[in-house]
Amino acid sequence: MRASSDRRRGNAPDQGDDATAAGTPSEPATAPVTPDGGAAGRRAILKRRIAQVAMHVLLVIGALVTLVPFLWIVIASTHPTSGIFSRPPNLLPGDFLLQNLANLQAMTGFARVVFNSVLIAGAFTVIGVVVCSMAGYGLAKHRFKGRGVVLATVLLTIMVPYHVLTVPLFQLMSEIGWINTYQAAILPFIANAFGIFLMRQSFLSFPDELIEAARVDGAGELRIFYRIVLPAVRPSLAALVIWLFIFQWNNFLWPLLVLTTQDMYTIPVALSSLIGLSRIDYGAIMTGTAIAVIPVMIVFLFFQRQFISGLLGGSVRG
Amino acid sequence: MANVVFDNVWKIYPDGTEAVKELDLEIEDGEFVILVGPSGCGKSTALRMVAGLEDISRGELRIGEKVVNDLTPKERDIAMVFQSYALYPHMSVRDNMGFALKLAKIDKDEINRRVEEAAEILDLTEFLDRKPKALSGGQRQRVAMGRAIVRNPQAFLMDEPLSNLDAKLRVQMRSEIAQLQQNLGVTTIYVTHDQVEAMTMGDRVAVLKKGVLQQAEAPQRLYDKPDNLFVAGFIGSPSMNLMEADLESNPGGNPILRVGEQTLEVPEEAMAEYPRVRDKVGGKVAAGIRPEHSFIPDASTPEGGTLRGDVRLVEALGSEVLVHVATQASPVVTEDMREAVDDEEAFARMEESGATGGMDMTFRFDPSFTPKVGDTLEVGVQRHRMHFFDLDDGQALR
Ligand SMILES: Nc1ncnc2c1ncn2[C@@H]1O[C@H](COP(=O)(O)OP(=O)(O)OP(=O)(O)O)[C@@H](O)[C@H]1O
Ligand SMILES: [Mg+2]
Repeated sequence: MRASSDRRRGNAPDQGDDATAAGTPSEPATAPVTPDGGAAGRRAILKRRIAQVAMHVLLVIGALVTLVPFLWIVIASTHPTSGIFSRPPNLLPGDFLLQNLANLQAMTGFARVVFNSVLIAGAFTVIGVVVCSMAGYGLAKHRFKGRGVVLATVLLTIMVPYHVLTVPLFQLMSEIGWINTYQAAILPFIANAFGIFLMRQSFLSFPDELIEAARVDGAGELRIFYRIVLPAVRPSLAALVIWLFIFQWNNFLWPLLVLTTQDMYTIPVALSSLIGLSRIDYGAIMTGTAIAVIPVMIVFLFFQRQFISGLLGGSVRG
Repeated sequence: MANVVFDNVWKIYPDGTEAVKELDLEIEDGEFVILVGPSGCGKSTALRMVAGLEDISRGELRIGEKVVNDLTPKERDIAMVFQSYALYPHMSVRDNMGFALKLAKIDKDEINRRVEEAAEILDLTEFLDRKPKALSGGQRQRVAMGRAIVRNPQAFLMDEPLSNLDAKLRVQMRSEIAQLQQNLGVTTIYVTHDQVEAMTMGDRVAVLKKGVLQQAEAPQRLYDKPDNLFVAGFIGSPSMNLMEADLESNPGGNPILRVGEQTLEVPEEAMAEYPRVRDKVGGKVAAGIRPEHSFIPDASTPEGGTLRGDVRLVEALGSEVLVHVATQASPVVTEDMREAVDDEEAFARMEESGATGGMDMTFRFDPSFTPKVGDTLEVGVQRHRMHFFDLDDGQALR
């Protein structure tokens, strides 16, 4: 009876089973197959092997597809433009990196540009995390009149395309005289609807009794927020940091509009300014691009670890 | 330490729910008061108003003679133990216990001293540096207690603090908390569902029904002299057998209760305790008898002193036997009883058996007595221990 049911399961892996077979919980159940069903058991093991190998092959292909362009950027950043377009292509690093850097600095004042980008994205992230998490907390845990309306309004703004906002925002900035200032690049998108919603959702599951316990213990609202509530939503905070930082780091249209002189440019704006020139220096652009990727990687790797450890820590259990 | 006074306190939630109505209750300095009642009767709400976690809609709440209606929890200086313990998950046991003291800007050495002293009392010393998630349920419960006692507050508030523990641990913690409270002498309000906790732990038990205080008295007194049908039905486990019966006049004697084909004569002691029974002759009353106020009749048992029925179920509990007997009495199925039973299904069963004229009564006997299911049993009733209530307003006929 048992063996036959196992066989049925073993013989019907065609319903998309292959891709997931390596991790399905039903597999261990097939392992201790009765001696009389040995053939079916061996076949099941073989199937599992094949599925595993297939999955690894797929993963490797996926990784290559993702990584090769980056590798190409890094290699290209070490060649002059002529070297990048040479035939056959240069697949090994060259020795032009320092020259590319020097050119980039000469053309855009790249050191200042990197500083601008780090400052703008960094400040944006720090302020954004505070604003989004506080707004999310208020919407999740404080009862007040019109809470539903506020939440609905916040969600509605997700549907308004970013580009639609740029014109009125630009007008506003010019009226208050903020054109070509850091604050104009940092502040406008700080109350990020997605960020607020993300934080609200994670605060929703935070137990009210913990907040009340802290209140009875004599903690004020601010202290409850950052000493008791925030530590419990670390994974969401890490996700928020990554999201906000990458959003602003890659942000192009708004900084392009509002930052008007080269010494205020961010990396995407500065690099794009090179493309309009009559002779495009691809070597320099590639170098700039390679540098631009580094902070993103740092932020991601650092906070991703928080993200995962938070998920595994199950920190909310009292 | 201080007394806690509810002076005509109301709680009306924004949606209109009247969770606590007209509550008058004075809790003395150092007293241990238990709040009990069926689910949703407003126990937690009352407690949370003391803590300052809910606004007071009307009336006045005083802690230590000071009106605290408008004070924040922080300013009230009370400690609360929650049902879920509400330990801060990312802090060690030490930090959990010391959190309130740290906020109160007490100096480090003093905090350490107090935390360690509390840990000593609660047997938590070896766990001081662990996180809550690495503790058992009982240990977490102790940490929650510890967090309250290190503060040496005006009052302790506890909302079903033992309900998440298994039965054995609950018994142990029950006596530990009672003892701790006695040693510390801190005014305590303790909310519970549990009959045994209510009867054994406190100096006084306050019974609530639908937001209204029914009776607040020492546990034994509450048990012996319930003021109304609800308290009679709610307090006690197994609960009092409450039947609806015609009260007939008896020329030359006390009135008698008609229970199906049988009668129970109301004795002189009961008449003295419940004089208004006389006014009800010719009508119906609710009559109650506790399971343990029964005996095995012998030749000397007078006529009109027993109830007969078939044995439905025998529960041998080791120290005693509970015998469920299907009698001809009709159950009381008023609103009071619906609340007291606090279980829609059980109440529906009672209504059903009321319609067919017959109710199961539970009697408590010595374990040497072992009737068989299906036997017809004659149970002697200690009639002088019977209780009588008005069926309409549920009040005791005193
Ligand atoms: N925030 C609220 N808004 C509206 N009604 C509420 C609110 N909190 C509680 N109630 C209502 O108030 C009444 C009393 O609730 P409370 O929590 O005090 O009951 P309880 O006696 O503690 O019950 P339990 O034994 O189930 O804990 C209930 O009817 C409940 O539905
Ligand atoms: Mg409650």
